[in-house]
Amino acid sequence: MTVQWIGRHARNPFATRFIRPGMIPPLDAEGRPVSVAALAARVPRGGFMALVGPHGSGKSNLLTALAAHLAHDAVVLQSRVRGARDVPGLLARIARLPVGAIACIDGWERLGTLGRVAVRGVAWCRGCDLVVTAHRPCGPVLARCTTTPSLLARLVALLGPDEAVIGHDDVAAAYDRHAGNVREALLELYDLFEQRIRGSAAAVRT
Amino acid sequence: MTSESFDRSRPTLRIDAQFDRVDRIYAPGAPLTARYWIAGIGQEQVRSIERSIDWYTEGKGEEDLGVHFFERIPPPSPADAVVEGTVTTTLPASPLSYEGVIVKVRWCLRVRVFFTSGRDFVSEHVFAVGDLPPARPAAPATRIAPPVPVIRGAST
Amino acid sequence: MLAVLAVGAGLDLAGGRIDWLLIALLIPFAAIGCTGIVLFVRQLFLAAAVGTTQIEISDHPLRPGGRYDVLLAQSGAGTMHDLGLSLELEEQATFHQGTDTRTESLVVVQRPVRAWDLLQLDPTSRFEERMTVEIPVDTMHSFVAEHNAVRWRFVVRGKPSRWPAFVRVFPIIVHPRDAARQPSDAEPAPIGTVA
Repeated sequence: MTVQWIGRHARNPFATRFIRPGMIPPLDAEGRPVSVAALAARVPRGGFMALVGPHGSGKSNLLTALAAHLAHDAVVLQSRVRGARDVPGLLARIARLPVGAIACIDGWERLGTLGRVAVRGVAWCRGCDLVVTAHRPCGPVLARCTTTPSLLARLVALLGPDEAVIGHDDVAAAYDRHAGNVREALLELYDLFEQRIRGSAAAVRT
Repeated sequence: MTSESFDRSRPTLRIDAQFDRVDRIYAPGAPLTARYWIAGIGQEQVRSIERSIDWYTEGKGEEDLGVHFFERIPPPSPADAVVEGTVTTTLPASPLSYEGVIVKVRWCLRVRVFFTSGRDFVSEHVFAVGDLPPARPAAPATRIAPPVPVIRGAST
Repeated sequence: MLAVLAVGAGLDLAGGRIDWLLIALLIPFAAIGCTGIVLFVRQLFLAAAVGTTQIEISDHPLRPGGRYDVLLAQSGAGTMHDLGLSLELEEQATFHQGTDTRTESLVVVQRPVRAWDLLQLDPTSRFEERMTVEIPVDTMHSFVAEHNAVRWRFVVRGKPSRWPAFVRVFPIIVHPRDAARQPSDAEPAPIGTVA
């Protein structure tokens, strides 16, 4: 594949626009496509299930794809939690959901103990399902997200950078440097791509 | 020039564009005219077509978007094999197209086709406003020799 | 509430009684309080010793290719080992990292304007220096959106003797280049004073 050019300028395939959750099809640890439909069929009614995995393992991406699929047949609320301060707003939104709706919550652990109890209580009262992302098991596990070098290699192949700019060795090295955190590896590959396209020295970065 | 089309379920649909400037580099405040052709619609019915002139950001940050020109037009006749359209506008003074390192600003003609089935197809055709050179990470500042002896006291 | 408990503990001590539980509870708060006082006093001395930095510019906003008169004024006392003024352009990008939000910055233009070393500051009058600054021609104007920004700024870096180095940032706005517009002869406009 060749570098994609916008006029005189190369398009960086690792830009956030192309790698943010929902833009890349979900893949399993070996880089094979995940059947989102099969996963969605396992979401129980009136239940709670978690997508579990370490940082940068694709939980948010999988949750986004799952929410989009579930939205074909149900009302879906998708929420990204940054901290306990998001609890009141989240409770209010869940309280307004119809019976049978599904709340997809990215960042379950950030709600705090009281927040988690409150959200589960309100969801149960409303008859809503909860599908959440977490770093550790916190209930029934819908899927475990893990990464391998093959996964990152497959992701990079899908993004399509010119191998003359970003080679297999670069991808493998990025995976090792970030201990399997695919998100951090992709951010590093972004910087590497920019550096090589420009042929510039190390960046001044804060 | 580059165009991007999103809808893997409709590989035959294609949108091409041609700008009145061959190099697609426009001065700020200059007029722009672009023609586009939509081919391969097939049997599926088009609900509407939207065309816009937007700027957007690309890079490490989340995408920001600004709409300079927007128009929704009624669906074409089902008999049309190829749908043509023309967009004419005067570009603003800013933002300029910018090829930064972690922040990039791009301008594009965006043509979006909505089908009665609920699906849509988007095509972007990038052009430039202004002709800035690409940015590079700055080297650490080097000291420059002051022009006069440096021990100073009272203000001048 | 803490004051009441502290007074109570003090009165107990004065009366020869030691309430170990109360004292143990108060120790962390006392540590935090003392640290806060030390930091405040340190900042106070730093501000008094280093003094304020002021930048005035002959026109604002600026335009690429324009030349502007800039006044740098530094007050304080003692010796400034290094003092430098530079013009910088910084990109900022904010993105979501899972459930975190992260902002990265990168300086893409860093032009030294003037530098001094072994500067003797007189506490009775401030050091002032006038110079001409040119905004580079083929550079991006100021740009701010929700997640992305390109910002121009003057940066003053100093290293006073016996005190930590400081960096003071003066944001400026650069409009897109306009060939028809000329810099005005308006009075110098101060764009910032930083202590």
